[in-house]
Amino acid sequence: MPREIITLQVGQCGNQIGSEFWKQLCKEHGINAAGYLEEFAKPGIDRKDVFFYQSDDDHYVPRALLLDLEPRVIDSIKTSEYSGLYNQENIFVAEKGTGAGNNWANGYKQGESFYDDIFDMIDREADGSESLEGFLLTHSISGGTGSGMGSYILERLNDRFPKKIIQTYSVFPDDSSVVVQQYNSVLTLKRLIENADSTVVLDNNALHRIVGENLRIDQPTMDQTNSLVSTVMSASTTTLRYPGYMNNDLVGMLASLIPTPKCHFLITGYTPLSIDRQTESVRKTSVLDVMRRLLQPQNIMVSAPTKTGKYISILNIIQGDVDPTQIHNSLQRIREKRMATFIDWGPASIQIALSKKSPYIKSSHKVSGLMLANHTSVNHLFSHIIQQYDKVRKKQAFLANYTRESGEILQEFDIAREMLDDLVQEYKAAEQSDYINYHMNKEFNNNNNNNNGNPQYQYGTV
Amino acid sequence: MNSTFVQIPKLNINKQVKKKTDSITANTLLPKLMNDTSIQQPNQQQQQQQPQQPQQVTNGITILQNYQPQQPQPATTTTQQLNSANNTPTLVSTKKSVIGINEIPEHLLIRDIIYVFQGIDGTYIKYNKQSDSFKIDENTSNTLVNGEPAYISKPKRDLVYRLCEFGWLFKKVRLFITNNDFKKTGLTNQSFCSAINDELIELYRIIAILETQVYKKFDMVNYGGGGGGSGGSGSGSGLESPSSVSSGGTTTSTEIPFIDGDSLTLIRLFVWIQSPLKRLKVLGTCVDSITVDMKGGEILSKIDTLSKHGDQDIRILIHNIMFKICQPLFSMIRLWMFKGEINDPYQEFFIRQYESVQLEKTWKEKFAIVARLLPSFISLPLSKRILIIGKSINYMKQFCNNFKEDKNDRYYYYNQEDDDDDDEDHDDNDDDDENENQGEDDEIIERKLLIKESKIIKEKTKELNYINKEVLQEIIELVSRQSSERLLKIVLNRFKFMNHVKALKKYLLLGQGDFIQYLMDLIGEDLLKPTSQIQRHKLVGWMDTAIRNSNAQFEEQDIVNRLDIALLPERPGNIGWDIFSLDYHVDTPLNTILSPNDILRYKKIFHFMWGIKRVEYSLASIWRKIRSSTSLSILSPIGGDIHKSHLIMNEMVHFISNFQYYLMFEVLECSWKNLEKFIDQEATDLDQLIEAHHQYLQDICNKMFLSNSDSCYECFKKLLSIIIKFTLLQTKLINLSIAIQNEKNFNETHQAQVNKEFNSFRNHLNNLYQEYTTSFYKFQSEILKVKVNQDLNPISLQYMLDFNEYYEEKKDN
Repeated sequence: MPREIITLQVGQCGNQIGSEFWKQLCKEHGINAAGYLEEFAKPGIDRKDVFFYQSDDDHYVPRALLLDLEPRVIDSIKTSEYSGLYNQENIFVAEKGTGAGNNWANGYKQGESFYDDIFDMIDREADGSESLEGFLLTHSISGGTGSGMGSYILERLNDRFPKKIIQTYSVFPDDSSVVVQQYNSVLTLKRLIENADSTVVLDNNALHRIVGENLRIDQPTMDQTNSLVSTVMSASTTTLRYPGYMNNDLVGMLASLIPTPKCHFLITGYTPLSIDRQTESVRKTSVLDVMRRLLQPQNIMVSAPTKTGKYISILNIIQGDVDPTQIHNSLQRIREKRMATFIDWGPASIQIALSKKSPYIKSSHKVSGLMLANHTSVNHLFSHIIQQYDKVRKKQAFLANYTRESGEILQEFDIAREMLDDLVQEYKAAEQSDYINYHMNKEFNNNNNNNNGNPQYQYGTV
Repeated sequence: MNSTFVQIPKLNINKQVKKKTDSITANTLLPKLMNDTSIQQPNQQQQQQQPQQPQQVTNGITILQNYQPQQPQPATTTTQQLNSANNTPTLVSTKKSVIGINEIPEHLLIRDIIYVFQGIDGTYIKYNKQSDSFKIDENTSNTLVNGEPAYISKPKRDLVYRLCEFGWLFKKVRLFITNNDFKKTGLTNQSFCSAINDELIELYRIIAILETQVYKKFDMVNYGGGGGGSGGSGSGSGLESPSSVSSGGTTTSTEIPFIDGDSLTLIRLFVWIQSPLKRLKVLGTCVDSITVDMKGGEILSKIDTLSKHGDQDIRILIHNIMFKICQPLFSMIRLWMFKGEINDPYQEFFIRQYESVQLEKTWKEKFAIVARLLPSFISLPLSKRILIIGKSINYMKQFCNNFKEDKNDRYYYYNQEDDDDDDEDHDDNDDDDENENQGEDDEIIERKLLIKESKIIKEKTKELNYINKEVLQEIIELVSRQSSERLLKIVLNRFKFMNHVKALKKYLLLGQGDFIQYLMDLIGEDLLKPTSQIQRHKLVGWMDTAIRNSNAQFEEQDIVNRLDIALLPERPGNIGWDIFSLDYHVDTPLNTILSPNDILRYKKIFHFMWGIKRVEYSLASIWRKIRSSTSLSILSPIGGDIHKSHLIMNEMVHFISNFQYYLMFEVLECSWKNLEKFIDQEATDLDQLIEAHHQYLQDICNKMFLSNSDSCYECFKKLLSIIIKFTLLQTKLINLSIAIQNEKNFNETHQAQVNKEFNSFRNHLNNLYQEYTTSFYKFQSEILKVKVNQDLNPISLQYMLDFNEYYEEKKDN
C-alpha cells in the first residue's frame, strides 16, 4: 500500500484533537465506530489504507499511536463510542500516570525513559506499512507532555527514520496565566525548527476568536475548538485519501509550500465553518467566494497580521461541485484585485487542488475550501513567544523546576531562544527582495560575532 | 365542253368531303375541329376563284426559298414556270394539266409517312445515313405515273420534310432505348428505357389511329380501280396494316363510300401530329441528355433538371418519367434505411459498400457516399444522414449479435408485417411487459410511442416516390433519429464507450494518481537503464503489482485486463524513460470507434505526462533529502549556495506544479467537461460521438503543445532536462555529505577534496540556473506565439507561471 502515514498523538491536547480527527475520517470513509465498513460504503472511491489498515477480521484500524503520561484523556477515549476502533497495543500511558507537570524537561526525561516501549510500537506500526511516507504528530507546544515528550520523539524519529516526512499539527498557547508555557514553547520550537519538515500552526487565540466571532459562541468548549482542528486536519489530507492527478503524497504538497527548510511553519484558513448542532442556513458558495474568504483574516487560524508581510506560497484545497473554468476566473480576480501580496524574490501563486468530497457526508455547502499557506507574518507569533519568554526568564520564575530535571537546561534555553530568533529574522528577510543573499549576509555577521566573542555568552552569567 | 365536264365532278366531291369531315371530327378528332375548318376554307377559295392561282405559285416560291440551299434545281424550275405563266396564258393551262397528271398521289405519300413516323423506310421516303435524316428517295423519279416520271410538288415536299422530323426523333429514341449496353449498366438505366418506352407506346397508339385513316384511303383507291406498279406496291403495304385494326378497317371500307376516303390530307396530318411531336421532342431531349456510360443518380439528376420547365404539359410528362425512373432508387433507399443492406448489382446506388475493409475501420470505411451517383434532389447533407441510418443498422447487425432477439429494439417492429396476428402478438407483448415492469410506466409509454412512430414511418415509406420526394426528408428525420439514438445507446450502454474513455483518462492520462505513483516507485529505477536492457515482461509484472495495491484493484476486471505496457520505437542512446508508455487494448467492435490511431495518441500523451510526473517526483525526493538537519550541518560551509539552490528548486517546483495544474484543469478537465456535456446533451449519432472524442484528443494535444507548436514543445522538454540535471547535481551533493559523515579519519587531504567538490557544485549550480532562466524566458515567449495562433488557452498557463510577476520584474532589472 503506497504512501502510508502514521499518526502520533502526544499529550492531552494531541489525543483530544487526534480523536476528533479519527471520528471525522471514519465518517468520511463510511467506517462505523467499531471500525467496520458500513453497508453503503463502496470500494474504489477513496484510499482508506493511507490512514487505516485492515485487521484479519476486516476491521479498519487507525495507523495511530496514543501516547500520554497521564490517563485522563486516553481513558475517556477508551470509554467512548469509538473505543473499539483503536489497536489497544498502540496505546501507551505511563504507569505512574503523574503527567509531566507542565514541564518540558520532565516530559522529555520521561520520554527518554520510555523510549523502548514507545519506539517498539512505532517500529511495529512502521513494519506494518508497505510504503511508509511519514509521520503526523499532534501535540501542544506549551504543555509538558506534548512539548517535552513530543520533542524527544521528534528527535528520535529523525534519527531512526531520516528519509520519512515529519509533519506536526502544533497547538500554540493562548495568553493565559500559565507562566511556564513560554519556557515549554521556546524549547519545543527548537525541535520543530530542526526536526520537523512541516508544522501546521494552530493558534489557540485565533481558534477561540473564530469560534466566538464566526460561530457566535461566547464560551467555546474544548470539543468545539478541537472540532475546528479536526476539520483542518481532514481537509488538508483529503488529496491523500482521494487519489487524483495531483497531490497524492505529502511531499508533493509540501515541496511547493516550503521553499527553504526553516520556513516551514504553515498557517491555515477554512471556510465555510460549521460545528455540530449549530444551525446554519444553506448557502450558495462559489469558488471565488471560498477563495476570497480564505484570504480574509477572520478565517485564518493564526493570530498573525496577514495584511502586512507577504505570502511565500498558498495551496487551496477546494472540495465540492466545482466547474474547472471558475477556478481560473477566481484566480484572475484575486490577482487583479491584489487580494494577496506575494514575495518578489521568486515565483509564487495560489496552487489549487480539487479534492473529491466524501459521498457519505451531507454538507449544507456546495463548495468548501482549506487554505494552507506559508506567510512571513507568522514570525510575529514567534516574536511574541520570545517576548513573553524574556519576561519570565528575567524574573527566573519557576526556573528551579527545570534545573532540577536537567543540569544543562539553561544552555538549552539559550540555544533554543537563539534559534527561534534566527527563525524570526529569516522570515523577516523573506519579505525582502534580496532574500537570495540572506545566508551570505548571515555568515558574514556570524564571523564578526565570533571574532568579538562576547555576544555568545551574554546569558551565561544568568 | 370538256371544261364544263370537269367542273361538275369537283363540285360533287366537295359536298361529300364536307360530310365525311364532320363525321370524323365528331367521333375521334373533336379538339381539332377548328383546325380542319380553317384548312377547308382555303381549299374552297382556291378551287372557286381561279385568279388566286398566281398566289399559290407565290407561296410555292416562298417555300422554295426555305429549301433553296438543299434543292437548287426545283427553284430554277419554279422560276421558269413563273415566266411561262406571264408570257403565255394558254401554256399555263397546259402545264397545270401536266403537273396534275404525274404527281405522286397524296394518299401514297401519307402512307409512307405513317411508316416514317415509326422510324421505318417508306416507298418514296427513306432514311439517309449520311445526312442522318429521312429524305425523298432520289429514285422516285424513276417511277412512272401516267407514263411520266414521278413528281412531288414543292408545298407537299415541304410538308413531308416537316413531318419526317417526327420519324427521325422516333427512330433516335427507340434506338437509344434498345441499346443493350446502356441497359446493362444499371437498374435505373433499365427503368429509364422502360419509362421512355411507355411513352413511345402511347405514340404508337396515335400512329395506329392514323394508320386506320390510311387504310380507308387505300380501300378507296382499290375500289376506284387504281393500277400500275405503284398500286401493286401499295397493296402489299396495305395487307400489313390491317393486322392491327383489321376488323374496324374492314367494316369501314365496306361502309364508307368512295368519296369519303379522300378526307385525310398532308396538312391535316401535320396539324394532328403537332401535339405528339411535342411529347416526342421531350423524349428526344431526355435521350440526348443521357450518355451510355451514365447510371443511377447521374441519370436522375439529368432528367430532374428537365422537370423544371415552364410548360405544364412538359413538366407533367417529365414527372411521369421521373416517377418511374426513381423506383429502383427508392427501393434501394428503403432497403438501406430499414435493413442496412445494399442490393446494387450494377453499382449504381449512391452508397457504396467496400468488402475488404478491416474490422476496426468498419464504421468509417465500409460504406461511403459516391457523390457522382447522388441525385440532384437529394442534397449532400441529406445523403449523409441516409448513409448514417444504414450504417447504424448494418453496424448493429454485425456487432450486436442479439439484435433481433431484443424485443425492445426498434427495428423489431419494422420486420413485422401488418397482419392481424402480428398485431395481436404486439398486444400480448405489451401485456407481458406491463406485468413484468409494474411501476415502470415511463418505459411502457416510451415503447408505445415507439410503436406508433414506427407505424407512421412505414405508412410514409409506402408513399415514397418522386412525386412525394419531400416525404423522404420527413422519413429520414424520423428514421435517422431512431437509428442513431439506438446505436448511440448500444455504444454507450452495451459497449460502455464512456467507461473506456474514463479508464483511459484514469490510466493513460494519469487520473488514478495512486496507481501512477506506485507504478513509478516500482519501475523508476529500471527505466534508468539503456533501452536495450529494458525487459517488458518485468515491467508488466510491476504494473500488475501496482494495480493490486492501488484503487485500480477495484476497477472492473474487463478494464484492468486491457492495461498493458507499450515500448515506443527505440533510438540509440535512449533510456527506458524515453520509450515507456502504458497501453490499453481495445478489441472489436469497440476499436471501430476507439481506433488504433486514437490509442496511439493516448500513448503519446501518456508518455509526455509521465515524463513530467517523473520530474515532479525527482524534485520532491530531492526536496526531502537536501534539507535533513544532518546534511545541512555538514554542508554549512557552502550554506549560501545551498540556500540559493533552495530558491532555484523553488522556481522549478513552482513551474512544474503550475504546469501540471494547467494540464489538469485547463487541458484535461475542461476538455473532459466539453466531451461529457456534448455526449450528454448534443450527440445524436455515432459520427458525432467519434468526432467529439477526436476533438477531445485534439484539444488535449494542442494545449499540451504536442501537435501545434513544435518549438514550444522543444522549449518545454529542454526545461525538463535542465531540471533533471539539477536533481542529479543535488543528489551528488547529498552523496558527498553522506561520504563525509561516514569518513572516520577525516584529514586535510579529504578536506581539500571536499573543497574542490564544493567549488564544482557552485559552478554547476550557477551554470544550470543561468541555462534554466534562459530556457524559461524562451518558453514564455513561445507561449505568446501560440497566442498569436488564436489559441488562447496557453495564456492561462503564462498567467499562472508568473502569477506574482516575479519573472516580469526580473526581466526588467
